[in-house]
Amino acid sequence: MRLIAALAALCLALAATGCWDRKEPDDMVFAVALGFDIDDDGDYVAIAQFANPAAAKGGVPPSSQPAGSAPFWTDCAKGRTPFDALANLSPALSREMTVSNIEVLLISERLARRGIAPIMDLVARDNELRLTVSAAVVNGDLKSLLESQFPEDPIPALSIQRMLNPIHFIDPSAMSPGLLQSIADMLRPGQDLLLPVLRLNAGAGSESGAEHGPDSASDSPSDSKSGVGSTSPGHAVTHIGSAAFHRDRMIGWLDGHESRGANFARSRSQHTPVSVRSPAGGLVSIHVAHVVSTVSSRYMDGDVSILIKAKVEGHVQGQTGLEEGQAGVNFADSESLRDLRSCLAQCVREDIEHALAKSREYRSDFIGLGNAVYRRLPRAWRAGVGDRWYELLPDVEVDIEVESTLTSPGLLRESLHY
Amino acid sequence: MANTAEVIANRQLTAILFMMRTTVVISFVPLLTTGDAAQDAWAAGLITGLLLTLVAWGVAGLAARYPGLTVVDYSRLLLGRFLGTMVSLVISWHFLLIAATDIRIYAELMRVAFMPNTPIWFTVVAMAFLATLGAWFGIEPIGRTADAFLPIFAAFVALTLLGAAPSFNLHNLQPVLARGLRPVLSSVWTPLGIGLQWVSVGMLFPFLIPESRRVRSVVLAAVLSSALLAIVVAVLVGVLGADLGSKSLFPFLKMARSVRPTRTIERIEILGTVAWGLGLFAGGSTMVYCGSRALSQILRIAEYRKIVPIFGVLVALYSMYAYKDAFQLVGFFRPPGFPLLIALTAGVPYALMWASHLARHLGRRRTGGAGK
Repeated sequence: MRLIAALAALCLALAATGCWDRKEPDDMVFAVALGFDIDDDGDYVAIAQFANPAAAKGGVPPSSQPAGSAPFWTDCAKGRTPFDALANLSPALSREMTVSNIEVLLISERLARRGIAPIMDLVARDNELRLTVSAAVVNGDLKSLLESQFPEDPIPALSIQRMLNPIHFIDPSAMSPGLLQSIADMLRPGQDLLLPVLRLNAGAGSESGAEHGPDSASDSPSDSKSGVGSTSPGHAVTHIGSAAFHRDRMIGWLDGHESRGANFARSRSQHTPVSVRSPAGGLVSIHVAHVVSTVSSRYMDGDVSILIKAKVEGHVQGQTGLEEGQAGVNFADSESLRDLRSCLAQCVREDIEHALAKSREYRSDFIGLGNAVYRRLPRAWRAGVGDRWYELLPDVEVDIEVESTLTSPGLLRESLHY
Repeated sequence: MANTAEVIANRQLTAILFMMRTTVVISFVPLLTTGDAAQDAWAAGLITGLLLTLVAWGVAGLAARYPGLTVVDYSRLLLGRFLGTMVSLVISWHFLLIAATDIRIYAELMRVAFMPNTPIWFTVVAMAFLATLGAWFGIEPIGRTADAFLPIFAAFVALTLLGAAPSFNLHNLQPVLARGLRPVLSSVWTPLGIGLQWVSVGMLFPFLIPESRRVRSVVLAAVLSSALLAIVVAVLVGVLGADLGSKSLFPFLKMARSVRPTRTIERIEILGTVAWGLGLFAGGSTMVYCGSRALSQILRIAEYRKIVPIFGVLVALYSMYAYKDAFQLVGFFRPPGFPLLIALTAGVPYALMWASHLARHLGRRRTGGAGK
């Protein structure tokens, strides 16, 4: 009996050696990015980027490598459903495709406007795809974007993933919420989805043209606040702005300011640069490092009103207007600091107002005002507000209160003036 | 009379019941998936916990009044030979049902999430074999294994919850109890029906030491497992949202697969899956043991081990053929069918046994008799 038990234990130990099925890694090909588009006939187009780790290891740019040794390659296939399209990639592959290592999921503007519910259904249902994947809408040709060159990484998917998930560096755009957050936003009553946008810059293979993109929607790309809304012409792909959805359909673009405002209102902003008018002349750059917002709702006499309270915390990063004879801001002076804080609060308030205006215009509640009503006033929501929410949204009274704090002047107590 | 050569500590029974209950209820989270409680599923968990504690007290309390006897013995004593044997057969079927269904749920998980190309019989036979092996060795090794598994089980579940915590969003739990109690109650009955596992107490009581703490250990398992399940379901809804959570086939697995605690730590679902496997071993082998013991008593076979292999084969066959696919498996637990089935096959017999016990007790008091 002990022998049987020992044999059984040995068999179980063999079954627990890491690889849990009969698929050999050598027989598989790993997709690292997945994109979906739709063609004129209404067929789905799946575009997958595959990594070639052996080639990527050398760090040689693809252009200087012999054919077949590029660090990645991109394939596409069509199908009547997203899964069909994905499965139709297989006939062109000599190995079994696996999508368990996907880093990013990209959706073309055209498909986003048509509706992304079938894509989300596939992703949530599939046993390989994970909801930790970063998602974005592509403004431009999706395949060209996936084939773009990124100086930072030999495999574009990795660069795109890092672009969408900035950790320590300053990024004014909407960070990718990840598919879990995206699906939760789509399913939550009174809440719509906001996805980041990747823009294929002109000259980098864009077919749809960038003039209709989120950047062009910016009304003041070079205003006094920051470079939000400006693009980097030297780079093939820029992560700027957002795509607003109503239920599963994309309604329109948000520029950098509007995206930032939406993120401020939803507490999803991080490490954002804001430049404000200095009380002493010139501009003061502030690194906003922390934002906490609450959206509360009131229901009086049949009318819903909303209050957005944002607490913003940042530190001074630099200033201009330090020409001869100019001393810059005196950070020891409480009045100057108060003015500066007030300017920062005003700037944040304006961004939130821009986002709100776009939300009303598109009738897309990406800030989640309706969800605040649903959570705080469930009786009113069920009594009819919920059914009529998108009719009410353009006229709902919204107050915005911003409290700003400057935590430090950086490593200088006073400005350097020469 | 049970052969009481084997003994297990009350602590070990608590561990077995806790893991058995937690495993199956974490697997497909019926608090969320079988009713309409949605974001208030945690409240359904608390109500279920309260009711399960009463059930645990009812089952253990009756068993405590007949020391040294199994449920097969005292059901015959209380209900008469024929009805008692019928009840014992139904309870034996419960052991078969629980073991087979738990194993099938695990096999479906392995097929859906990890090994889509592996035939389901492979997982079913492997787990049924393990459960049979455990039962063959007896309740003492099962108890010691449960003792050893419990810290790992608890740590893995806790680590999965901790890993998911950064993705927790309190907004997903709001509004709180806004729709009243009716939707909450709709989610109570299936998890309560799964409390059928507590019928194993009727078979295990004669083996428990010390006698003074037996009821307490059974009730403690109900309280602890219910508290953990309420926490799990609250975290789960906070992470996935009520809608995605309730529409998932295996919400706990879905949650673990949907989070990435850090850039370097990901794919934490293996923790939950291993915990589930450990719990399934403890639960499955206990059920095969109890089922074999009950059948051996009914059939008057002195050595229960003669029944164990047969019972193991029955478990594997039942697991494979009672449910055509995952749809049917999910459908089986859907209210009102499942809770009604359990109420009729377990609730009614226990109510009859309690009624008979009280009648006997009152009768004895009236006639001035003493003792049990």
